[in-house]
Amino acid sequence: MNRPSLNKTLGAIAVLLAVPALFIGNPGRVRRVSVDLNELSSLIEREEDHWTTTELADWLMQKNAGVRIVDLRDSADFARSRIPGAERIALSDLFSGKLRRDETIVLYSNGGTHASQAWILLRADGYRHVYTLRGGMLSWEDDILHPEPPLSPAVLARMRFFGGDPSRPSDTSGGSGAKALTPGRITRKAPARPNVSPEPERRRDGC
Amino acid sequence: MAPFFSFGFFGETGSLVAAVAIGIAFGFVLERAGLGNAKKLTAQFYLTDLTVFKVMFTAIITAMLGVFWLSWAGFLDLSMVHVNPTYLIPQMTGGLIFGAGFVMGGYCPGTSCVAAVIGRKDGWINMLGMLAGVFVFGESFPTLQRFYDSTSLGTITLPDLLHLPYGAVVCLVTLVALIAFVGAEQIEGMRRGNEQTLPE
Repeated sequence: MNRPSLNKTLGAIAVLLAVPALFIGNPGRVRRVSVDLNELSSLIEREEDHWTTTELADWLMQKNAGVRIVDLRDSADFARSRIPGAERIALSDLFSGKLRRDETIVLYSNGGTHASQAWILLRADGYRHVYTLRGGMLSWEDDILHPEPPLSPAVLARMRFFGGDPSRPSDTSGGSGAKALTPGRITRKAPARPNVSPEPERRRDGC
Repeated sequence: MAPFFSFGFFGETGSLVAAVAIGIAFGFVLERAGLGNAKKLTAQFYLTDLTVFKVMFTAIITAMLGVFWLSWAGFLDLSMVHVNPTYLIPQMTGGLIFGAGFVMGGYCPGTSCVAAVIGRKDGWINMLGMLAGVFVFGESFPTLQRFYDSTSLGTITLPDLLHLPYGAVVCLVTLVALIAFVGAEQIEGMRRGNEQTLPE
Protein backbone atom coordinates (compact mmCIF):
# COMPACT_ATOMS: atom_id res chain seq x y z
CA MET A 1 0.00 0.00 0.00
CA ASN A 2 1.61 3.30 -1.04
CA ARG A 3 1.81 6.13 1.45
CA PRO A 4 -0.99 8.43 0.23
CA SER A 5 -3.31 5.43 0.18
CA LEU A 6 -2.23 4.44 3.70
CA ASN A 7 -2.79 8.01 4.94
CA LYS A 8 -6.29 8.04 3.44
CA THR A 9 -7.08 4.69 5.03
CA LEU A 10 -5.90 5.86 8.44
CA GLY A 11 -7.81 9.10 8.03
CA ALA A 12 -10.97 7.19 7.18
CA ILE A 13 -10.51 4.97 10.26
CA ALA A 14 -10.10 8.07 12.42
CA VAL A 15 -13.32 9.56 11.03
CA LEU A 16 -15.17 6.27 11.58
CA LEU A 17 -14.08 6.30 15.22
CA ALA A 18 -14.62 10.01 15.81
CA VAL A 19 -18.09 10.55 14.39
CA PRO A 20 -19.89 7.97 16.59
CA ALA A 21 -18.16 9.53 19.58
CA LEU A 22 -20.17 12.67 18.87
CA PHE A 23 -23.39 10.75 19.55
CA ILE A 24 -22.11 8.87 22.58
CA GLY A 25 -21.27 12.02 24.50
CA ASN A 26 -19.55 11.15 27.77
CA PRO A 27 -18.18 7.61 27.96
CA GLY A 28 -18.39 5.56 31.13
CA ARG A 29 -21.09 7.74 32.74
CA VAL A 30 -22.53 4.86 34.69
CA ARG A 31 -19.96 2.91 36.68
CA ARG A 32 -20.90 -0.43 38.02
CA VAL A 33 -18.94 -1.93 40.86
CA SER A 34 -19.15 -5.20 42.74
CA VAL A 35 -19.21 -5.21 46.52
CA ASP A 36 -18.05 -7.96 48.86
CA LEU A 37 -20.69 -7.57 51.55
CA ASN A 38 -19.04 -10.06 53.89
CA GLU A 39 -15.73 -8.24 53.71
CA LEU A 40 -17.30 -4.85 54.40
CA SER A 41 -19.42 -6.04 57.27
CA SER A 42 -16.43 -7.84 58.76
CA LEU A 43 -14.34 -4.67 58.60
CA ILE A 44 -17.07 -2.72 60.37
CA GLU A 45 -17.47 -5.41 63.01
CA ARG A 46 -13.73 -5.52 63.72
CA GLU A 47 -13.71 -1.69 63.84
CA GLU A 48 -11.09 -1.55 61.11
CA ASP A 49 -13.17 0.97 59.20
CA HIS A 50 -12.28 4.03 61.24
CA TRP A 51 -9.64 5.99 63.10
CA THR A 52 -10.41 7.55 66.45
CA THR A 53 -9.83 11.23 67.05
CA THR A 54 -6.91 10.49 69.38
CA GLU A 55 -5.27 8.23 66.78
CA LEU A 56 -5.49 10.96 64.17
CA ALA A 57 -4.34 13.64 66.58
CA ASP A 58 -1.32 11.58 67.62
CA TRP A 59 -0.51 10.91 63.96
CA LEU A 60 -0.57 14.61 63.17
CA MET A 61 1.41 15.54 66.27
CA GLN A 62 4.16 13.14 65.26
CA LYS A 63 4.17 14.88 61.83
CA ASN A 64 3.70 11.59 60.06
CA ALA A 65 3.05 11.84 56.38
CA GLY A 66 1.12 9.61 54.04
CA VAL A 67 -2.47 10.25 55.11
CA ARG A 68 -4.96 12.36 53.22
CA ILE A 69 -7.57 13.88 55.46
CA VAL A 70 -10.74 14.60 53.51
CA ASP A 71 -13.40 16.97 54.79
CA LEU A 72 -16.81 16.18 53.27
CA ARG A 73 -18.67 19.14 54.77
CA ASP A 74 -19.87 22.23 52.95
CA SER A 75 -17.54 25.14 52.28
CA ALA A 76 -18.99 27.29 55.07
CA ASP A 77 -18.27 24.66 57.74
CA PHE A 78 -14.84 24.05 56.26
CA ALA A 79 -14.01 27.74 56.34
CA ARG A 80 -15.14 28.01 59.95
CA SER A 81 -13.05 25.16 61.30
CA ARG A 82 -11.22 22.12 60.06
CA ILE A 83 -8.74 19.49 61.10
CA PRO A 84 -5.18 20.60 60.25
CA GLY A 85 -4.09 19.26 56.89
CA ALA A 86 -7.62 18.49 55.75
CA GLU A 87 -8.73 19.20 52.22
CA ARG A 88 -12.34 19.69 51.29
CA ILE A 89 -13.82 17.36 48.68
CA ALA A 90 -17.56 17.32 48.10
CA LEU A 91 -19.24 13.91 48.03
CA SER A 92 -20.14 14.48 44.39
CA ASP A 93 -16.46 15.04 43.56
CA LEU A 94 -15.12 11.94 45.27
CA PHE A 95 -14.95 10.01 42.00
CA SER A 96 -13.54 12.75 39.81
CA GLY A 97 -9.98 11.50 40.07
CA LYS A 98 -8.91 13.52 43.08
CA LEU A 99 -8.19 10.44 45.21
CA ARG A 100 -5.79 7.63 44.39
CA ARG A 101 -6.49 4.07 45.32
CA ASP A 102 -3.07 3.50 46.85
CA GLU A 103 -3.42 6.37 49.33
CA THR A 104 -4.48 6.18 52.96
CA ILE A 105 -7.54 8.37 53.28
CA VAL A 106 -9.37 9.47 56.44
CA LEU A 107 -12.84 10.89 55.82
CA TYR A 108 -14.79 13.08 58.17
CA SER A 109 -18.01 15.04 58.20
CA ASN A 110 -19.76 16.83 61.04
CA GLY A 111 -21.06 13.72 62.78
CA GLY A 112 -20.16 10.78 60.63
CA THR A 113 -23.11 10.02 58.37
CA HIS A 114 -21.67 11.41 55.17
CA ALA A 115 -18.24 10.01 56.02
CA SER A 116 -19.71 6.55 56.53
CA GLN A 117 -21.65 6.74 53.27
CA ALA A 118 -18.53 7.90 51.43
CA TRP A 119 -16.56 5.07 53.04
CA ILE A 120 -18.92 2.47 51.64
CA LEU A 121 -18.84 4.04 48.17
CA LEU A 122 -15.04 4.27 48.12
CA ARG A 123 -14.58 0.74 49.45
CA ALA A 124 -16.98 -0.49 46.77
CA ASP A 125 -14.90 1.32 44.17
CA GLY A 126 -11.73 -0.48 45.18
CA TYR A 127 -10.19 1.94 47.70
CA ARG A 128 -8.59 -0.40 50.24
CA HIS A 129 -7.07 2.15 52.63
CA VAL A 130 -9.99 4.41 53.41
CA TYR A 131 -11.25 5.09 56.91
CA THR A 132 -13.72 7.34 58.64
CA LEU A 133 -12.94 9.54 61.62
CA ARG A 134 -15.18 8.17 64.33
CA GLY A 135 -17.55 10.84 65.50
CA GLY A 136 -16.42 13.34 62.88
CA MET A 137 -15.73 16.97 63.56
CA LEU A 138 -18.03 16.98 66.57
CA SER A 139 -15.89 14.37 68.29
CA TRP A 140 -12.71 16.18 67.24
CA GLU A 141 -14.02 19.28 68.95
CA ASP A 142 -15.05 17.37 72.08
CA ASP A 143 -12.07 15.03 72.40
CA ILE A 144 -9.17 17.11 71.13
CA LEU A 145 -9.98 20.82 71.12
CA HIS A 146 -12.29 21.20 74.09
CA PRO A 147 -11.92 18.14 76.31
CA GLU A 148 -13.71 18.01 79.62
CA PRO A 149 -11.67 18.18 82.82
CA PRO A 150 -9.97 16.39 84.47
CA LEU A 151 -7.33 16.45 81.73
CA SER A 152 -4.67 13.76 81.56
CA PRO A 153 -1.19 14.83 80.33
CA ALA A 154 -1.84 13.24 76.93
CA VAL A 155 -5.20 14.96 76.53
CA LEU A 156 -3.70 18.27 77.64
CA ALA A 157 -0.82 17.88 75.18
CA ARG A 158 -3.20 17.28 72.30
CA MET A 159 -5.41 20.18 73.28
CA ARG A 160 -2.47 22.57 73.43
CA PHE A 161 -0.94 21.28 70.19
CA PHE A 162 -4.11 21.96 68.25
CA GLY A 163 -4.85 25.26 69.93
CA GLY A 164 -7.89 24.23 71.93
CA ASP A 165 -9.05 25.09 75.43
CA PRO A 166 -10.77 23.11 78.17
CA SER A 167 -14.49 22.70 77.87
CA ARG A 168 -16.77 24.50 80.30
CA PRO A 169 -20.17 23.07 81.16
CA SER A 170 -22.72 25.09 79.16
CA ASP A 171 -25.96 26.52 80.70
CA THR A 172 -29.12 25.15 79.11
CA SER A 173 -32.71 25.85 79.94
CA GLY A 174 -33.12 22.31 81.14
CA GLY A 175 -30.29 22.67 83.63
CA SER A 176 -28.87 19.32 82.59
CA GLY A 177 -25.39 20.72 81.98
CA ALA A 178 -25.39 19.14 78.53
CA LYS A 179 -23.54 20.98 75.79
CA ALA A 180 -25.84 23.03 73.58
CA LEU A 181 -24.90 22.19 70.01
CA THR A 182 -26.87 22.93 66.92
CA PRO A 183 -26.99 19.62 64.99
CA GLY A 184 -24.68 19.78 62.04
CA ARG A 185 -23.10 23.08 63.12
CA ILE A 186 -19.92 23.80 65.02
CA THR A 187 -20.72 26.59 67.45
CA ARG A 188 -17.34 27.01 69.12
CA LYS A 189 -14.75 29.43 67.82
CA ALA A 190 -12.26 28.24 65.22
CA PRO A 191 -9.07 26.78 66.77
CA ALA A 192 -5.84 28.74 66.65
CA ARG A 193 -3.29 27.76 64.03
CA PRO A 194 -1.57 24.56 65.20
CA ASN A 195 2.11 23.73 64.88
CA VAL A 196 1.39 21.40 61.98
CA SER A 197 1.71 23.15 58.63
CA PRO A 198 1.06 20.56 55.93
CA GLU A 199 2.21 21.35 52.43
CA PRO A 200 -0.25 20.68 49.65
CA GLU A 201 1.03 17.94 47.41
CA ARG A 202 1.49 19.06 43.85
CA ARG A 203 2.48 16.65 41.16
CA ARG A 204 4.13 17.82 38.05
CA ASP A 205 4.53 15.21 35.38
CA GLY A 206 5.73 15.72 31.88
CA CYS A 207 8.38 14.89 29.33
CA MET B 1 -9.50 -2.15 34.54
CA ALA B 2 -7.06 0.63 33.67
CA PRO B 3 -5.24 2.78 34.68
CA PHE B 4 -3.41 -0.21 36.06
CA PHE B 5 -1.40 1.81 38.61
CA SER B 6 -4.48 3.55 40.01
CA PHE B 7 -6.24 0.22 40.46
CA GLY B 8 -3.29 -1.26 42.31
CA PHE B 9 -2.24 -3.85 39.71
CA PHE B 10 1.32 -2.79 40.31
CA GLY B 11 3.05 -0.39 42.69
CA GLU B 12 5.82 2.17 42.34
CA THR B 13 8.43 -0.38 41.22
CA GLY B 14 6.15 -1.80 38.57
CA SER B 15 5.29 1.65 37.33
CA LEU B 16 9.01 2.50 37.01
CA VAL B 17 9.60 -0.69 35.02
CA ALA B 18 6.67 0.19 32.78
CA ALA B 19 8.05 3.73 32.38
CA VAL B 20 11.44 2.38 31.26
CA ALA B 21 9.82 0.03 28.76
CA ILE B 22 7.56 2.76 27.38
CA GLY B 23 10.51 5.16 27.25
CA ILE B 24 12.57 2.70 25.23
CA ALA B 25 9.68 2.19 22.82
CA PHE B 26 9.15 5.96 22.56
CA GLY B 27 12.81 6.61 21.81
CA PHE B 28 12.86 3.83 19.21
CA VAL B 29 9.82 5.21 17.43
CA LEU B 30 11.18 8.78 17.50
CA GLU B 31 14.45 7.67 15.95
CA ARG B 32 12.73 5.58 13.29
CA ALA B 33 10.56 8.57 12.41
CA GLY B 34 13.72 10.59 11.81
CA LEU B 35 13.27 12.84 14.79
CA GLY B 36 16.85 12.36 15.97
CA ASN B 37 17.95 14.74 13.20
CA ALA B 38 18.18 18.42 14.17
CA LYS B 39 17.65 19.62 10.57
CA LYS B 40 14.40 17.70 10.31
CA LEU B 41 13.25 19.02 13.68
CA THR B 42 14.00 22.67 12.99
CA ALA B 43 12.60 22.43 9.46
CA GLN B 44 9.12 22.56 10.95
CA PHE B 45 9.79 26.12 12.13
CA TYR B 46 10.59 27.02 8.53
CA LEU B 47 7.47 25.11 7.41
CA THR B 48 9.46 22.99 4.95
CA ASP B 49 9.06 19.71 6.83
CA LEU B 50 6.14 19.34 9.23
CA THR B 51 6.92 15.73 10.20
CA VAL B 52 7.13 16.62 13.90
CA PHE B 53 3.72 18.26 13.80
CA LYS B 54 2.20 15.29 11.97
CA VAL B 55 3.82 12.68 14.24
CA MET B 56 2.79 14.43 17.44
CA PHE B 57 -0.74 15.22 16.32
CA THR B 58 -1.17 11.64 15.06
CA ALA B 59 -0.09 10.38 18.47
CA ILE B 60 -2.58 12.70 20.17
CA ILE B 61 -5.45 11.51 17.96
CA THR B 62 -4.54 7.84 18.39
CA ALA B 63 -4.33 8.16 22.17
CA MET B 64 -7.50 10.26 22.37
CA LEU B 65 -9.57 7.82 20.33
CA GLY B 66 -8.11 4.89 22.23
CA VAL B 67 -8.84 6.42 25.64
CA PHE B 68 -12.39 7.36 24.61
CA TRP B 69 -13.34 3.96 23.24
CA LEU B 70 -11.60 1.97 25.99
CA SER B 71 -13.49 4.08 28.53
CA TRP B 72 -16.77 3.51 26.70
CA ALA B 73 -16.08 -0.24 26.63
CA GLY B 74 -15.43 -0.25 30.38
CA PHE B 75 -11.72 -1.12 30.21
CA LEU B 76 -10.49 2.29 31.34
CA ASP B 77 -11.74 4.53 34.13
CA LEU B 78 -11.37 7.97 32.61
CA SER B 79 -11.86 9.68 35.96
CA MET B 80 -8.69 7.97 37.26
CA VAL B 81 -6.42 9.13 34.42
CA HIS B 82 -4.07 11.76 35.77
CA VAL B 83 -4.47 15.16 34.20
CA ASN B 84 -1.77 17.76 34.76
CA PRO B 85 -3.14 20.91 36.34
CA THR B 86 -2.98 24.05 34.22
CA TYR B 87 -0.97 27.04 35.42
CA LEU B 88 -1.62 29.46 32.59
CA ILE B 89 1.12 32.09 32.69
CA PRO B 90 3.96 29.85 33.97
CA GLN B 91 3.21 27.22 31.34
CA MET B 92 2.96 29.81 28.55
CA THR B 93 6.29 31.24 29.71
CA GLY B 94 7.83 27.79 29.81
CA GLY B 95 6.45 27.06 26.35
CA LEU B 96 8.02 30.21 24.93
CA ILE B 97 11.40 29.38 26.48
CA PHE B 98 11.04 25.79 25.25
CA GLY B 99 10.22 26.94 21.72
CA ALA B 100 13.13 29.33 21.59
CA GLY B 101 15.47 26.63 22.86
CA PHE B 102 14.07 24.12 20.39
CA VAL B 103 14.78 26.34 17.40
CA MET B 104 18.22 27.38 18.66
CA GLY B 105 19.36 23.94 19.77
CA GLY B 106 17.57 21.87 17.18
CA TYR B 107 16.13 19.41 19.69
CA CYS B 108 13.47 19.10 22.32
CA PRO B 109 14.33 17.26 25.57
CA GLY B 110 13.22 13.86 24.29
CA THR B 111 14.82 14.11 20.86
CA SER B 112 18.08 15.41 22.37
CA CYS B 113 18.33 12.08 24.22
CA VAL B 114 17.56 10.22 21.00
CA ALA B 115 20.25 12.15 19.13
CA ALA B 116 22.79 11.66 21.91
CA VAL B 117 22.21 7.92 22.01
CA ILE B 118 22.70 7.54 18.26
CA GLY B 119 26.03 9.32 18.55
CA ARG B 120 25.32 12.92 17.59
CA LYS B 121 27.56 15.31 19.49
CA ASP B 122 25.05 18.16 19.21
CA GLY B 123 22.54 15.86 20.92
CA TRP B 124 24.94 15.37 23.84
CA ILE B 125 25.55 19.13 24.14
CA ASN B 126 21.81 19.79 24.01
CA MET B 127 21.17 17.15 26.66
CA LEU B 128 23.88 18.55 28.96
CA GLY B 129 22.36 21.99 28.49
CA MET B 130 18.95 20.61 29.42
CA LEU B 131 20.35 19.03 32.61
CA ALA B 132 22.12 22.25 33.48
CA GLY B 133 18.88 24.15 33.01
CA VAL B 134 17.06 21.67 35.25
CA PHE B 135 19.74 22.15 37.91
CA VAL B 136 19.58 25.95 37.70
CA PHE B 137 15.79 25.84 37.89
CA GLY B 138 15.92 23.58 40.91
CA GLU B 139 18.35 25.81 42.74
CA SER B 140 16.33 28.94 41.95
CA PHE B 141 12.99 27.33 42.75
CA PRO B 142 12.44 29.12 46.09
CA THR B 143 12.62 32.42 44.22
CA LEU B 144 10.44 31.21 41.36
CA GLN B 145 7.87 29.29 43.36
CA ARG B 146 5.35 32.06 43.67
CA PHE B 147 5.31 32.59 39.91
CA TYR B 148 5.42 28.81 39.35
CA ASP B 149 2.20 28.33 41.35
CA SER B 150 0.37 31.34 39.94
CA THR B 151 -2.69 31.48 37.67
CA SER B 152 -3.86 27.97 38.44
CA LEU B 153 -6.92 26.83 36.50
CA GLY B 154 -6.96 23.39 38.14
CA THR B 155 -7.18 20.20 36.13
CA ILE B 156 -9.14 21.71 33.31
CA THR B 157 -9.80 19.80 30.10
CA LEU B 158 -11.16 20.85 26.72
CA PRO B 159 -14.64 19.43 27.48
CA ASP B 160 -14.68 21.51 30.69
CA LEU B 161 -13.46 24.61 28.88
CA LEU B 162 -15.81 24.32 25.92
CA HIS B 163 -18.77 22.97 27.95
CA LEU B 164 -19.11 20.13 25.48
CA PRO B 165 -19.39 16.37 26.02
CA TYR B 166 -16.19 14.36 25.64
CA GLY B 167 -17.43 12.73 22.46
CA ALA B 168 -18.07 16.06 20.79
CA VAL B 169 -14.54 17.23 21.62
CA VAL B 170 -13.11 13.94 20.31
CA CYS B 171 -14.93 14.40 17.03
CA LEU B 172 -13.96 18.06 16.79
CA VAL B 173 -10.26 17.49 17.51
CA THR B 174 -10.08 14.60 15.05
CA LEU B 175 -11.62 16.65 12.26
CA VAL B 176 -9.32 19.59 13.06
CA ALA B 177 -6.35 17.22 12.95
CA LEU B 178 -7.29 15.76 9.59
CA ILE B 179 -7.79 19.23 8.12
CA ALA B 180 -4.46 20.28 9.63
CA PHE B 181 -2.68 17.28 8.08
CA VAL B 182 -4.00 18.17 4.64
CA GLY B 183 -3.01 21.79 5.24
CA ALA B 184 0.45 20.74 6.38
CA GLU B 185 1.01 18.79 3.17
CA GLN B 186 -0.05 21.82 1.14
CA ILE B 187 2.23 24.16 3.09
CA GLU B 188 5.20 21.79 2.75
CA GLY B 189 4.66 21.62 -0.97
CA MET B 190 4.47 25.39 -1.31
CA ARG B 191 7.48 26.00 0.92
CA ARG B 192 9.63 23.41 -0.78
CA GLY B 193 8.84 25.02 -4.07
CA ASN B 194 10.14 28.35 -2.74
CA GLU B 195 12.82 26.81 -0.52
CA GLN B 196 16.23 28.39 -0.28
CA THR B 197 19.01 26.03 0.72
CA LEU B 198 19.73 26.29 4.42
CA PRO B 199 23.42 26.75 5.32
CA GLU B 200 25.21 23.45 6.19
